[in-house]
Amino acid sequence: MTFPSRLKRSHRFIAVLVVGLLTINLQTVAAADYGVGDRLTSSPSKSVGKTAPPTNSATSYKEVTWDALMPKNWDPMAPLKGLKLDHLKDGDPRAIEALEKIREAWNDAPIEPTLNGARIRIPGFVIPLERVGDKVKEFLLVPYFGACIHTPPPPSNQIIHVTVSKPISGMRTMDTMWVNGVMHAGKVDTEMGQAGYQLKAETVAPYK
Amino acid sequence: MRSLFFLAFASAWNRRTTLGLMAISIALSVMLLLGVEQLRTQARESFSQSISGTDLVVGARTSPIQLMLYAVFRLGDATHNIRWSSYQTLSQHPSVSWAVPISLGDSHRGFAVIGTTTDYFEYFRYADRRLLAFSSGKPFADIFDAVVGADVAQQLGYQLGDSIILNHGAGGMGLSDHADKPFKVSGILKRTGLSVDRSVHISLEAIEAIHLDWQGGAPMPGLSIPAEYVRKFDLVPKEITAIFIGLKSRAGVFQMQRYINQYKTEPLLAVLPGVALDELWSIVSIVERSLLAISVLVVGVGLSGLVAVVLAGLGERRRELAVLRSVGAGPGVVFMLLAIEGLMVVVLGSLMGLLGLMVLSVFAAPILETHLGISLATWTLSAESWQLLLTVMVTGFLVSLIPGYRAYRISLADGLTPRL
Amino acid sequence: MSQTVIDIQNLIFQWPGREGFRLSIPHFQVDRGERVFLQGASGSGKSTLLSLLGGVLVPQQGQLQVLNTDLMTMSSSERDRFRVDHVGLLFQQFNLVPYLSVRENVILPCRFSQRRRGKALESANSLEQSADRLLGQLGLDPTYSQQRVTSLSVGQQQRVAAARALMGHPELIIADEPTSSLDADRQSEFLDVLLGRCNEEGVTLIFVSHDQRLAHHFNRSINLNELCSFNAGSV
Repeated sequence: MTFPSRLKRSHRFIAVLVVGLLTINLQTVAAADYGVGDRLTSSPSKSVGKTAPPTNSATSYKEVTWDALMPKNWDPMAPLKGLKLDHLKDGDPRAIEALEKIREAWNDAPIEPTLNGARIRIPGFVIPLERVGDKVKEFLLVPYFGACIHTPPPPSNQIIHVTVSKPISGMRTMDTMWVNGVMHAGKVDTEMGQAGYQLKAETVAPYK
Repeated sequence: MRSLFFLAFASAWNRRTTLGLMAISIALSVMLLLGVEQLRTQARESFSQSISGTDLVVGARTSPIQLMLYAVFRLGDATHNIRWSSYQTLSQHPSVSWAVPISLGDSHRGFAVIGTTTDYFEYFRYADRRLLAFSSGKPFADIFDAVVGADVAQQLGYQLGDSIILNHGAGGMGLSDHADKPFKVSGILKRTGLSVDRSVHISLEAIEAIHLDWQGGAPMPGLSIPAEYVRKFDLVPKEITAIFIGLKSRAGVFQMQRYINQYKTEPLLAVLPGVALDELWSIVSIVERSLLAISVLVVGVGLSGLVAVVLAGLGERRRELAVLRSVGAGPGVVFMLLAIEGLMVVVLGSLMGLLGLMVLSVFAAPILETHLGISLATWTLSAESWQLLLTVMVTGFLVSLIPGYRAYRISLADGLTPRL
Repeated sequence: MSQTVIDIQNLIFQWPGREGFRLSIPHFQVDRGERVFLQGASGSGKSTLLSLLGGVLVPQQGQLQVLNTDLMTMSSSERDRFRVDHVGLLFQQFNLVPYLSVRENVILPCRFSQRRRGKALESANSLEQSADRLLGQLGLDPTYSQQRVTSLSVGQQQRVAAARALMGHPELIIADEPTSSLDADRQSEFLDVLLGRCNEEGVTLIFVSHDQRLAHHFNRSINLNELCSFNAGSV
């Protein structure tokens, strides 16, 4: 084999290896393409074994939907009853007033007390609150994408304040996660009498 | 097996100049690769540690990232201030547990001066909910009291009770001087590793006091108010730069954020620190990845060079290989000898690179901390860095198999009598 | 224990892909302790024969047995191992590894052959001691042991090569023109020491050279043309 062709073969080999290195190290985060307002399907469509976090029979979690967090007799759209929205123009004071009423109601939404102490698992979008280094220790879980950015905030009974004992690395805003843990549903603000959901998470796994 | 290493080492030592140069080239590329990775992780750690336990950061309506940059990380200048009345309204909002105002823009001999209230020392937290601790002294009680950060005290040699002069404007050397109103160091903070260390904290009233006889950044001619009379003036602040807010219920942060963003009296912006940080990272990540890709390519160049050099040298080593063959080294042994040689060079180069990086960190760390607020861990590597180092070594071994294979073929073909 | 060291019958070797390039040996037998002088010029199939004897090449036809071992049924790595275990090799030049010391060069075969290593340690406390003794017997005193081979004269280097071939008591030594790089005086000296050692240890020696004048040192002298028919084919 002549000298030049020998070199060419080795350079090709090396090029392949370098590309291999590149793909290993540049972990391109395949960001799920969610649009504003998108929700997660509670049960993963793919095989359970692969995507759901392992559930031990001794510590089993009950999977709940976000709707279950709203008491059955509470209607989030109550202030809009009686208003024929199609007939109102944009900027009509009644519409604005109605929206204001909704916001106030949502601010002080009732919780479902039967969930207190329940071991649940629920999927959602995360908003990091507290970090230890780059790892997230405390976050909010909301039902739909873009909950804090583009749309009005969700009702207070559709926000879960989650704390974890072991900080999680690599968590970014609007990541989708399965959260398993013990739910606390009760008063969170003694002065104002506001109630909300808090969860002590035992496992947190990416939602696939 | 021991014989293999002995022979490989003896052979490599014979060609130590060339192989040494290749090791250096690999060392430099590893230094670059690990340096980029370390910087990346350290920057994230440092920035994430800057603020803790705060639900919202409120300021003038700029972009969220910009607000975080000047209000929390103290990088860059504030674009616009907000009214004191806004702070009063917000701090009295029923959902708010505490609210700490800060005022930026002044400097003292190159260090930033921050106007704030004593609440700052009670509520501001960093890292994992740590409060600012004092190494000596206490928060300001008098108008002309100042609390200095650890770096300020160390570099300027300040101690409790010392007098210091403050400038107007955030420039390094103050063009204008407040020489007639000296401040007294009432407290020195313990080291935090944040921009706090390089700041001087005074009360908001003090900021007003300094600027009494100033209009638009320069003293008014003919007007000079002696220090003792200053207290008689109305020193309620008119403007502040930003407010840190803690809520009674953390889940209520969205409502509060919306309320502030739609505040009618003044255009305000409320930002969730965690979310804004993620936005910052998503923008920066493009740069990060490019840098990492370049570094990986540079390592590829280094390894390529090693393979080329060893391959090129095989021609001269035909005799050596034939001799080894004649004393019983099979073609497989020859293959291993070359592979081990390549591995040795890569490992040596990698370790040299690692060492070089640590030495460089020692020199670079102070600069990075002062200018970017990133505290660099000199002697430890992140898990990702170790992974990268291992990948380089494994790849180095794999590419060494190329000359190994070539040598294998040569020794098969030559047999006992090399074709020269 | 058989006395036959080399037993070749009706051997035919053809270089693959080279039409007509062929070596044919009807009969060749060597007994233990014989010192055989093979005379032939370069290009007379000498290298091919040595490669066959060394187990590097395998004949297509016939029988090739060395020390009662049939080389033709062995795999390439088995033949390599057999060779280093039982055969010492000595070439005209460039026998030694330039970056190892004299002593290290002599020890080399013991790094690759457990048998020779064991044999060397039977009569010495360490490999180094065995090597030094062998060097002494070949006329190189211990001061040379630690030196780099590149600082020795050609004659001295050949002695080191001989020591290496003898190290660890192989049964057979194949020498290919080992004296051809030496001047006349040195040639005789070298032959004397080499033959002396082979006699003492009962080592069978196959010595190939083009120089007829050396033949009288050996108890058997064969011309390669008599031994084998070598057809270089239509080139």
